[in-house]
Amino acid sequence: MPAALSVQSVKKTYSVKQGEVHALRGVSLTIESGEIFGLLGPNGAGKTTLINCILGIVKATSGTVEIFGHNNMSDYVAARKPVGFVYQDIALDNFFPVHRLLHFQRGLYGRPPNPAYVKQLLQELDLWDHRTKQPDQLSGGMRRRLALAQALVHEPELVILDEPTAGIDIELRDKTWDIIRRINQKGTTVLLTTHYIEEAENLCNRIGIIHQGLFKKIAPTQQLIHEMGQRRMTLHTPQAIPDDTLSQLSFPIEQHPGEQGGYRYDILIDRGVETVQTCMDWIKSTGIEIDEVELKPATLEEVFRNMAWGNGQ
Amino acid sequence: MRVFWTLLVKEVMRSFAIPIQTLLTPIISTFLYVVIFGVAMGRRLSFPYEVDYLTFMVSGLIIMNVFQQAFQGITSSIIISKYRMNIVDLMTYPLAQHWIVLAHGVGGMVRGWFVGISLWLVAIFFMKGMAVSPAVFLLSSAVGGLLFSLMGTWVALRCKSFDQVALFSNFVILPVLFLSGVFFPAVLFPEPWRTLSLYNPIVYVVDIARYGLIGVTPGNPILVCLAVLSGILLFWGLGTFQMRRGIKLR
Repeated sequence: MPAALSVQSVKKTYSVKQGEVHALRGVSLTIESGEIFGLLGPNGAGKTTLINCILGIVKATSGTVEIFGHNNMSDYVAARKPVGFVYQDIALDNFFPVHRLLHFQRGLYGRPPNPAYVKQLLQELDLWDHRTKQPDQLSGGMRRRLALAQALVHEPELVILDEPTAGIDIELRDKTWDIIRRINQKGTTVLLTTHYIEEAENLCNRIGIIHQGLFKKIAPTQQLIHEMGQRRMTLHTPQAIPDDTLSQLSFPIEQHPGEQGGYRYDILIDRGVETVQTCMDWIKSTGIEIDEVELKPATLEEVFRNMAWGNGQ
Repeated sequence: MRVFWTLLVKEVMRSFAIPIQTLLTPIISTFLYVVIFGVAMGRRLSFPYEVDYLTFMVSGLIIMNVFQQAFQGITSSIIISKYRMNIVDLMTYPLAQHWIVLAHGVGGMVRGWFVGISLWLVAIFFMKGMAVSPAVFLLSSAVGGLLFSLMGTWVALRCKSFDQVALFSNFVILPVLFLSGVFFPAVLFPEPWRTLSLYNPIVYVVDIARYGLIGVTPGNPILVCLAVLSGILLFWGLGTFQMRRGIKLR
């Protein structure tokens, strides 16, 4: 069975007055059916350009994109049919009310009418009471939900979501996450970009971190956090640790005055279980008196910060 | 087929979502033309046909409205989508580009046709001799409307704003229509307009559509068919080429 999405060596170069801008420098990515893949990257990293290349809105300078085995340029009709998407900037047709837009959208992807499914989707997204309104009469959050409904109404096999929860409140964000999980459980593959690391950490099986038009790392979410994340150990001591003792430690350590008196030491532990053990061994060996020890697990946010901007920024 | 049909229905329903712009405006402007040119000037003109000048002009106005509305309807639909940025949806529908262009072309044609038929029904109510051969009028206005609608599709895909469309509309569409014998028989134009009008294919389309309305004999029907068919294929091809090259956005 072909992969849901296969991107091979895609480059995109724009010509500008000052020369050339390399938005994508040869990215490759394979997403298997049933995955939820998170695309993370700072602004201008190339996330939206990659999505536009996948959707065929932008022609890649070189490289190939295949959706369920169909090339998105030479076999674009077959490639587009199983795809639903939500753009970062919501752009909706304002000539029709909400329910009619969704009925049209199904037909535009070759699906027969299914009023019951449209109703169910509108109810799930709290839009049923607004079905007769034009999109411009809806609030920003409702418009975003309508865009999500448009992406899902033709029951696509691959859903591409460019920042699907930007600008919506926590309750609706949770609801959107539930919907993403539910469609994924039914077999829909999801590719999402987000600035909310929590969102990626909660939803995605795998994550790709893109920066300056290149993937810096693609890995399963937990593996990425485990391998690339830095744990933080905090020691609270009544006495200052002598400098010559501190210098024995190979990890970076920062000394701060404690909030309740005494001292606080933050130790960054690069990765792996062994290094925590090494740290504990060091503490024992120094014989220093310790009031409290905290160990904060690595987070995806930390991984992302380190990979996108480098340590300490 | 379902995708094509849905796109076509959506385009047609878009026109009916704005009935004032679609129907009321052309009816009022036609009424003004009739009052100013037809009634005021008609009595002073000696006219070589069996019908009077007012009948001749009203038939021309009906045909002009079909073509103008077919062009304007589709250009405004596409340019509004460009302003709202949902035009990119067109690039993602699972439909071959030439069918996307044709769906727009037929959608615009239906709008022009609807306006033309509405005006025609009003004219039949007020004037005699306006329905000599309805089938000829319906068919020829549909085909001519498709030509103008495909032209509008190509122009709108190329243009970034209403200003750019207005340039084409004012400097190409209007002169071509005015020199096609809508208000006055092309054979009675002074030189060099008379010779120029011979090379204007729209003259022949207007002639044959007018034949359907008031029975004034058209030019060579084979020439008409060839001219219109070539125009349809040309603008269908240009529109598809533009889709392939990319839709110009703001």
